[in-house]
Amino acid sequence: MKWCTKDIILFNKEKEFVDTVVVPLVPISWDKNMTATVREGEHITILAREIEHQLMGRMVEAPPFTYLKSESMEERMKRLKLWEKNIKESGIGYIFYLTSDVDWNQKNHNMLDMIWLPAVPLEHMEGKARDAYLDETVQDILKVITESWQQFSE
Amino acid sequence: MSNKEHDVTRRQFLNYTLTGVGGFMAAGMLMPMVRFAVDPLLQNKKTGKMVSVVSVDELTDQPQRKTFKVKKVDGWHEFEEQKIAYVFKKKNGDIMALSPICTHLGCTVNWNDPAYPNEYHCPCHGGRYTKTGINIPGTPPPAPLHVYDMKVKDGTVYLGDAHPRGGA
Ligand code: FES
Repeated sequence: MKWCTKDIILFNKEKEFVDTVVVPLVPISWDKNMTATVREGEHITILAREIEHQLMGRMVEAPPFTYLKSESMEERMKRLKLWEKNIKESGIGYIFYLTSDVDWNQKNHNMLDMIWLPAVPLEHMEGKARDAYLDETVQDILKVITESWQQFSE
Repeated sequence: MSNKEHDVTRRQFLNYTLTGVGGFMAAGMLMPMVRFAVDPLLQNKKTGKMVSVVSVDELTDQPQRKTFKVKKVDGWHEFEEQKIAYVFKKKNGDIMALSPICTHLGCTVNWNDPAYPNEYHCPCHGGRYTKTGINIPGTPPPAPLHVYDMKVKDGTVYLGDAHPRGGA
């Protein structure tokens, strides 16, 4: 379910079936690394949309969590924890953070369910190769999510 | 007297002709605008074009997952949407193409998951369907998987829109 009124009305009606939220992490910078920053955000946004599309009956795709690249890890975590607290309070059991930003890969944020994927330069990929790459990557992420569902349901 | 009458008729004549021409011009201007305004609505009703998806030789009695792209129009905005179909040959040889969108809340089902062999299984709430897409009672889905419009031309399977089936 997407962050739009139509889907959220459905979410409130079918709440017993929806226990998962995905949050795309989208960095911002205006310096010489801007292109790379945009690519990281775009890459993860495309994947998040596709994940939502395939698992829409059980999850809500939250609006992206945005942050300046210059924001300290501590600050980001503090804000993210606040998001998490809010979401959990609504009765959601699973929260997955999707990111292509290396910052989140380097440090071990074991308190959060972080799914990290390297930002592939999709703008250089041709139609078929791009589709195949996206399809495969989406399948991998789906696996991570559905496996954690199974673990806890048994 | 007769002159005056003549004037009136001439004025009337001009009136009629000008209204006529003006109306014609107005219609000429408005029609494209009206068409432009309602066109997206008309287009949405049109069934999408059929897309080539797989060659017939590739098909077996086991459903195969195939992806293809269709052009969608949302208002004025046109975009490509990736679709998935499970395509196979039924016992009688007919080709069937199923949409994997779960009829419960819309998740994408998978064929032949190791834990659920020879069935479609929905990862979200455990919905299950038989090979021909019939929902298995006692699982959440209220209806069978939708079936794609299909045609075969020169050994290639073309798919169109997916529809719910009547009955079943
Ligand atoms: S969406 Fe498939 S079982 Fe609920």
